[in-house]
Order: sequence, then C-alpha cells, then structure tokens
Amino acid sequence: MNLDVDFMLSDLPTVFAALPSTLLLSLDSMFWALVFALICGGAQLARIPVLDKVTLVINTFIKGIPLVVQLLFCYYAVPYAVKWFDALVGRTYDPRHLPYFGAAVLALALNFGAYITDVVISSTRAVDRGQWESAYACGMTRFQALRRVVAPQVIVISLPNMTNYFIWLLKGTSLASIVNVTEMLTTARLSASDGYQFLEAYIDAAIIYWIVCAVIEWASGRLYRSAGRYLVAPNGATAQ
Amino acid sequence: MTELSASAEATPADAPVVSVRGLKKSFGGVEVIKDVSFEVSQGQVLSILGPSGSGKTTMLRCINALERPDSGLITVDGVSLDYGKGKPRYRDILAQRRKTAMVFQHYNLFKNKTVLHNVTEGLAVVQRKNKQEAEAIAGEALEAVGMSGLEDRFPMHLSGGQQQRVSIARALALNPSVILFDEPTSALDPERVNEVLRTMKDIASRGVTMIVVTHEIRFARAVSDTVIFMDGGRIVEKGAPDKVIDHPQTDRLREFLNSLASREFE
Repeated sequence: MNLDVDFMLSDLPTVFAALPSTLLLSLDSMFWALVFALICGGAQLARIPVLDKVTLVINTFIKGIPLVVQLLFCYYAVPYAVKWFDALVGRTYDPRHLPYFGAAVLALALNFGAYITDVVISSTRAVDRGQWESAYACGMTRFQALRRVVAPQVIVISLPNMTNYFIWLLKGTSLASIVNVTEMLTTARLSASDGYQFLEAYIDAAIIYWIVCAVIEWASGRLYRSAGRYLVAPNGATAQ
Repeated sequence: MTELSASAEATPADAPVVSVRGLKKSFGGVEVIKDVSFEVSQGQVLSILGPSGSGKTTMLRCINALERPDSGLITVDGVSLDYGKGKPRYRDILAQRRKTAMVFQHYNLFKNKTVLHNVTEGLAVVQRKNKQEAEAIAGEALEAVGMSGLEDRFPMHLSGGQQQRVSIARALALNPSVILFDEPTSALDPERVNEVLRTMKDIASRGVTMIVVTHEIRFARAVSDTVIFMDGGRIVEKGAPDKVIDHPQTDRLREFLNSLASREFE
C-alpha cells in the first residue's frame, strides 16, 4: 500500500478550512480556562476563606480525571442540563439542537483551567514581595499595586507556561471530535472516509497542527522578549 | 492628601512631624519592639542604630504600616493611627502611608518600569498628577540624585548604587512629610556606599525630614540631629550624635560601637 500523495495534497485545503473552528474552540476554551484559573488562583492567593479550599479540591478533582472522560461526561450531561434549564425558563426541550460546542468548551476550560491555576499562583508568587511593598510605600492601594506593578510582571513571567498550555489545549481540541464537534481532526476523518485514505488526511492534519503550534510558539517568544526586555541585563544575563 | 486623612488635624507649627508612642510589636509570641516612643521634628534627621534583631527595621516599617503594631499611637503629619484600639481602617492606613515614603535596603524599584516611570508612577497613580507635571517633578528629583540622563534605563541595567539613588528620587518626588530609609547602603558594594550616602546628605540639607536605619556610624554622626540606639526592642540611648556616638553612657552601646570600630580596622 502506497501513500497517496496526490490525495494528501488535494485534501490539504479541505482540512485547512477547518482550522478556524479548531482555533475558535481553542481560544474560547482558553478564555474560559483563564477566567476559571484567575478565580481559583485569586481565591487561593488571597486566602479567601472557604473558597480557597473549595477551589483547591475542585482542581485536584479535575486534574485527576482524564480529559477524554471529562469531554464524554460533558457530552452526555448536556441533554440533562439543557432539559433542566429549559424547564427552568419554561421553554420546550428540543433534543435536535444541543450545544455540543459549549460542552466541549466547558470540558476543555475546566481541565486546562485547573492546570493554569497553578501557573497563575506560581507566577504571582514569583514576583518579589518587595514589589508589593514599594508600591504600598508609594501610597498605592492593593488593587493599584496589583494592576500597575505586580500583574504586568505576572503576565510576563507566566507567558512561556501559558503558551505551552495553550499549545497543549489546541491539540487537546482534537479530542472534541469524539463529542460531535466538527473541528480539524473530524474534518480530516470525514474527508478521508470515501477512499479510506485516513493516513493521508491525518498527516495533513498533523502538518497543520505542527505549523500552527510552531507559529504560536515563535510569536510568544517574540512577545516575551519584547515585554520582558526589562529582565535582560546588557550583558545578556537574565534575571530570575 | 488631607482630604483622604479622616483623622487629620491641623498641625501646630512646632508639633513633631512623626510621633511614636508606646509602640509594641511581636512576631509569633516574640516581642521584637517593647514600648518604644520618640518624636521627630520638621526637617530633622533621626538615625537609628542597633544590632541585627534589635527591632529597628520593624519599627521603621510600622511608621508606614507595612507592619501592623500590636499597640501604640503613631502620628505622621497630623494623621494618627491608634493601634491600641484594634485594627485601623484601611483608608486611614493609606492616608498615613501617603504622608511617608520609603527607601528599601534592596531598592525594590519597579522592575518592569524605566527609571523615569519608577519615579512618575506614584505621582500619576496615587497623586493623580498629569503626565507633564509628573515628568517635570520626576526630572527634578532625578536631577537631585544625579541620575539625569538615565531616564530610559530599566533597574536591571543600573548598578546597585544607581538603583538606590533612583529609589531616593522616587521617595523625594512624592514630597512626603518624612522619608524612611531602611538600611539603604547595606546591600551595596563598599565602593557604591559613598555615592548613596552623599545623595542622602544632599537630601537632608534640603530640609527633608528623615528617619534612617543604618550601620553607617560616620554618616549618622555627620548628618543626624538625633541618634537612637536600640537593642532588644528598646531604646537604650537617645540624643545628639556627639553625645550618643562619642560619649556612650551604657556598656551595651560601647560594646556595639567597639564591634563596629574593630570591623573597620580589620
């Protein structure tokens, strides 16, 4: 059996056309993962009573369950949730239009949010206590110190880790193909099913994933070097 | 900033700028400050000497509420916080803090901001000055510490002495009622110490009220109006520098001064 290179080339645009849906799913999930992580991380850093412990337990729970299981759980839980919600707002339950995209976003956001919580916490703790103190000594409120001095440093410190998680998440969206979300991998599979040229289609998908991830990593590196230029001494040595 | 200070009262001309009464502070059951009281008048320089662990840094940090005393009354330019009455309101802490500025042992410049923006930050964010005004004030302050021309550098690109001078400019620009110096030369290379001490002497000669925690005996003698020697959380001796440093009354201070002197000649 030979690799059908012609099909591989001709199928490339078809698979590539699904890239926006993969990116949309990734960005959507990353956004909610960040929101989740900021809430959990914030609660734990600020030692908000009860909430800090609750988020800690939720996070260990999420981290201890495979992403596939979470996707499947959200997938099968969606009809129940929608049914319940429709009953709550007095709407007629319609099983034909279930929000599977939303379910995939929920699963991905919770899963990656749990990991990104640790990035938020460790990056914030990596900012020297003296930065807070000198902001306070200048008369800033806690919020001003956070917004003007600490948070900008946290963003720079966390950028490499955040990028890694985003790349991981982007590849993780391929698992959403098992829960009826048409993203790039699903599109590759569907496009190959007529001629059983799955290997070719998956190679196409792999190439596109790789290029996209490489571009993201390159862009993040550039951003890090420019936003983090204050960390680099003239002799090239890097602090921290 | 008086509109922020709920407990501000009109300060009589001869009233002290900083007044500390009955200050006590413990960490985990260990009393590090045991009933300390002192006052500093307008334009005066107070130096605080003492061995490590004598409570001098903690006491300084109580004056801008970076540490919360267990009890005591601290007044800075009319804004009083009475810690004996429990936890003060946050707005009162802010009001008192905004009467002070601090120079830290490890400079603590905002790492991600240039020299200029380190100085303008407090002016813009806290004092709500516009950009031109803030930059004009920052320019003057940087001029005063001899750091003009390096406005666009990041702290990482400066020597320790230069960073400390920027941090003095940052404090000076806020035009506080008192500047608190926490061992400002302890983290510096010996060669850089003098440039910072000279800068501090310049600032003192402008009539800025200063409280300086230091190990630099010669600086304390040359610049201070009053010297306090602390040990074990108490003020052991207090007075004019020629009295305290040249004619110590207690064995403990003599011992301390001797240990510093012998270190110098090793």
